[in-house]
Amino acid sequence: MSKVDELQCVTFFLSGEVYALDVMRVQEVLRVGEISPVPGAPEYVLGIINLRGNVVTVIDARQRLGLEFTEPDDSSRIIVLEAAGQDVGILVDGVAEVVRIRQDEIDPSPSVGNEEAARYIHGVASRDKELIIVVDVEKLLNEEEWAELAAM
Amino acid sequence: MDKLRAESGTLFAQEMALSAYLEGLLTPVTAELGPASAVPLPAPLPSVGKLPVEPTVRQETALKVVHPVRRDPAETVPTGLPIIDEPESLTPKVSDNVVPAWASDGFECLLFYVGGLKLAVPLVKLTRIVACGERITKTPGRAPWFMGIMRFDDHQAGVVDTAKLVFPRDRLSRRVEEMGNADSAEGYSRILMVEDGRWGLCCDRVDTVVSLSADAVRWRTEKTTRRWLAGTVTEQMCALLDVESLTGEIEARGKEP
Repeated sequence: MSKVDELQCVTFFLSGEVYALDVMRVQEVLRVGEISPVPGAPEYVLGIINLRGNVVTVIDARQRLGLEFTEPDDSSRIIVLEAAGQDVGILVDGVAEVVRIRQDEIDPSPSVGNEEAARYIHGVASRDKELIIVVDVEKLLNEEEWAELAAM
Repeated sequence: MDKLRAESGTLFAQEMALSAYLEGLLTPVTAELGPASAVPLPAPLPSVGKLPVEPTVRQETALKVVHPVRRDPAETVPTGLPIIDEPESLTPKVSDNVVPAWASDGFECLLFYVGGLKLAVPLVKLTRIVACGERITKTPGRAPWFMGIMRFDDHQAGVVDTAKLVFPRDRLSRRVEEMGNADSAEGYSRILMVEDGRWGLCCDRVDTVVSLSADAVRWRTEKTTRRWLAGTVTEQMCALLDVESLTGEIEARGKEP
């Protein structure tokens, strides 16, 4: 009955691939409403949303992971999560379900690529016939970027 | 009309460039063999890799390549005997050090094609051949030659766009044009699984298996460039892959900061 080394993850889609992040991080999942652009913000920042009176910065997950930009559509969602001590939203193509992934199912290799985007990846897990890319939320931004975000 | 002519011209030029490249694979071996017996090897000729650039060279090399390939098929029958009767002086004296252990008593290798380039992989290094049907998961931030990850047996395997690893740049850009989407596994038909199935090398077509003796290969003595190239199979005029070096290079490149 050991629940050690098991991760509950929310799975979401980006560019046709299935991604996952730790469910404990997730505050809520929103439909995409109005995102107000922030002049002078870094390019990974899509803008801000008003979440029941709180301002939440929305990050473009595609931009971070080096994927091409697409306009949000009906299935697009903003996952509001807690990372580096603050709430931040990430825009994804859609949210699927919550799955349990054992740590030993997550294979850190082969993560070939020397681009920065590879660093956001915790590993790849096999489920059924599918592979799920597990994202390390804390690493989505570096320390300076998190600080910059907090100051916005 | 002009357009038509231009197109066929391009096609012809491509053929020649490929032939020149094949010749390029062969030439350094010859160049290395000469001095090998007497003096320490000089650095590999830098001009070799640039062969396809010179149009006049293309013409010559294209001819050179085509003719020696044709031989009586009976000669290729796996007798375990040396297939090529080279003059003694041409057989590399250093070969004892260069020939891998698995090759010393003769070996079998599978011939396969990537974009018209004929390659050979030793059977002892080949885990399995799979059809290009399995879904390949594209991980973000991957290198251009890394197509993604797929399930293989009970583990994950990295799938490599072989052309992007072994082709010279000019030839590669044409292939990317031809294939349209450079990111796609479409256009490839098979994946050769190597290194216990940890890596998959995409190929267009697999050909036959041939039995070779160690001296049917011109083993490369010094591998400062193209470390994936173990040598050249003289009879089949194709490049023999050094699987460990190839995957070693893949893994090393993946760890670059």
